[in-house]
Amino acid sequence: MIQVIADSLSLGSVYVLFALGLSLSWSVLNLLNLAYGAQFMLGAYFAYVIGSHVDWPLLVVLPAVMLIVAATSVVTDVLVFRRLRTMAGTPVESELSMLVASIGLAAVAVTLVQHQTQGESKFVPRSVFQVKTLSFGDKLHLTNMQLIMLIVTVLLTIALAVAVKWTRFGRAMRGVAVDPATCELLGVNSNRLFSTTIAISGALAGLAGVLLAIHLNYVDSTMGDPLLTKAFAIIIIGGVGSILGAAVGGYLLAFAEVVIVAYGPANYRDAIAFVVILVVLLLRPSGLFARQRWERA
Amino acid sequence: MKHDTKDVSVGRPRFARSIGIVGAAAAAALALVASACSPSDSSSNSGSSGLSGTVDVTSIQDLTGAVGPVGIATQNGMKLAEKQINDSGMLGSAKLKISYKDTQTKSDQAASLMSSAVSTNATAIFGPVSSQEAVVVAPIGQSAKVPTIFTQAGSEGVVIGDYTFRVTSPQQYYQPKMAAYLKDKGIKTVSFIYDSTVPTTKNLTEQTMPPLMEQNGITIKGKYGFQNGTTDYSAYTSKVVGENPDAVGVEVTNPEASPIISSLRNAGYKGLIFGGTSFGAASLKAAGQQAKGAVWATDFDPKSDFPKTKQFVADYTAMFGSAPVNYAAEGYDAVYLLAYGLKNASSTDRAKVQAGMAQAAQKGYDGALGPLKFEGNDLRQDGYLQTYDGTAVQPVDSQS
Repeated sequence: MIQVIADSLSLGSVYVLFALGLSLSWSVLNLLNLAYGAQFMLGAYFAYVIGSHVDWPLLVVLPAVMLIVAATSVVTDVLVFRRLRTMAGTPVESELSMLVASIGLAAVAVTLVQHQTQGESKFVPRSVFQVKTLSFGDKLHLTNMQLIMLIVTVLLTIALAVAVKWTRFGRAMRGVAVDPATCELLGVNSNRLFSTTIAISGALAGLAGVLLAIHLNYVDSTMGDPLLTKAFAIIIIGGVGSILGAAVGGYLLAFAEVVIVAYGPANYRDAIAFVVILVVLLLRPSGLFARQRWERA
Repeated sequence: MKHDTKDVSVGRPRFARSIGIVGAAAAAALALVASACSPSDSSSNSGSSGLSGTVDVTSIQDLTGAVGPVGIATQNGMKLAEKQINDSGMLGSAKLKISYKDTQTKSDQAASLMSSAVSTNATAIFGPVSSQEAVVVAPIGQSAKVPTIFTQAGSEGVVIGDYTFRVTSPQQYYQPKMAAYLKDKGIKTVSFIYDSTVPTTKNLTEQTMPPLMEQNGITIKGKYGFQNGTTDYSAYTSKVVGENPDAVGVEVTNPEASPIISSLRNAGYKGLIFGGTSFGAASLKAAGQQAKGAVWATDFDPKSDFPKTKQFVADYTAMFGSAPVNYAAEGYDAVYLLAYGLKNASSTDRAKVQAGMAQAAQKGYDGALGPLKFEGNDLRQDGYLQTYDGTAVQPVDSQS
């Protein structure tokens, strides 16, 4: 049972670490960024590229990749999303057009990486980080990367939740998502705020890309797609608008999946897990931690 | 009826006898010249080529997506064969021209491309490597009576009629070698982790392996299938490690092999790991030393002494700068099946090409995979066992 719990925490950390950035942009900015999976993949890809050319350790590669992916996110916001927000007549038009644009951006990124890698899977060189197994008798085996992921996930979740809810920056982010015009009148530069939030979301995608590429031991141009589907599910379980809710949702989903594999028909893991999601939504349509009515911020 | 040669020889004029002798000598000389001009292969697929112009062929292949690496390797082998066939003049003055299309590893895309291809003047079509796409595409080619050639795509529902061909032996024909190896190594129990959404790996694990294991006195402790797109395998590997089998079978597609092997070793598993053709230097490189000792059955031995194989390896390495994998060898041999078919047919008429290819398959030919023998339109091979030493692929024999 202890290994099941450890595997649940590990898998949950995979899901939550991936979903944090998406949760930030969707929950707070109302931007359903379908290019997020591609940003995550770019983080993994840049880690592979950097690691293949220079002998930098993880502590150097990680911030470098986060910076690169954050920069690409800002560029796409300035060149694409900002224009769409400006041209849109209503908030709904703005959301839809950014959604569609994000699909196109994802396709471009995936195609470029596929071309560079000839469609082959790559991996982050061991010079960046050496994964080691930590054994606690015969009952529990964990790797050092799984422990790192768990700690980073928990710390980041708390930090983000606190920042969004209690800092001036977080209040400004939530305000811009609800009414950018009023925020402008109050002296908040909504475009700069949007770009900053997108950059943070991109940096989180890059962070997740590096750590998960090392944990999973592969880098592939399509590696973001399956996680994107799961991320939507856990954000909805947890409640759109709640970062803590998304984290709880992620670990709950992971626990359900691991238990099914450990004690039930493994082939039906995904099917049963989504039945669990359905049951949660039938009981709590707005998600576990949503407020009585769905309101942003 | 007894043939009375005495009566024939006495009854014929002397001049006619001379003409007969000269004619026979001329015919023998012509036969000698004709055989010297035909390609040097072990079969007699040597019809004269009355072809001219461009022979248009379409390849519908998985060049991107989940099995993109397999499709690209296959395409590389095909390109080498195309070049060699054209440079050697095997088709006379005709030139083979293959147009390559990408299915993106999507069945709907494959079906759409196939529907378009059959309505063009393509003489033949090469189908995708993915079984899921191949079973969708095969009926289109068969009903349109277009010779359609597959590699990999080992599930049922691919070679469904006289117009469908496969130049990869289904794995069930060489997995007995794998099962016998496990028995020789004293393996008594195995567990399987497999991709349950890919027909080839699903059928291999659920239908082919159980009777083979039983025949060799090996008990299967568990079979754990995952959906394609699974990213973290910890739950599966922990379950398997908990069972403590003597060996673990990993029946997966190309990109999944290393992550699962790494996950098994990280979970503390120290026993033998075995698999199928998806193993290989390219797919095990990420696992590195963790994959050392992994064994798999495959249809291609790049270190074989078979002349055609050696030549193929040298030519491929010269053209692409890296050693070929089995998928490239299969693509190469698939194009040659078409070439022999075209030569036998001396025509680009689809029905004649189909008949020519069936003739070539019946006779067999030497290819990059070795001496090729077909059962109908489907290749059959005993296969080879290979292992990974942590950095490179080695034949199993050299490890004993």
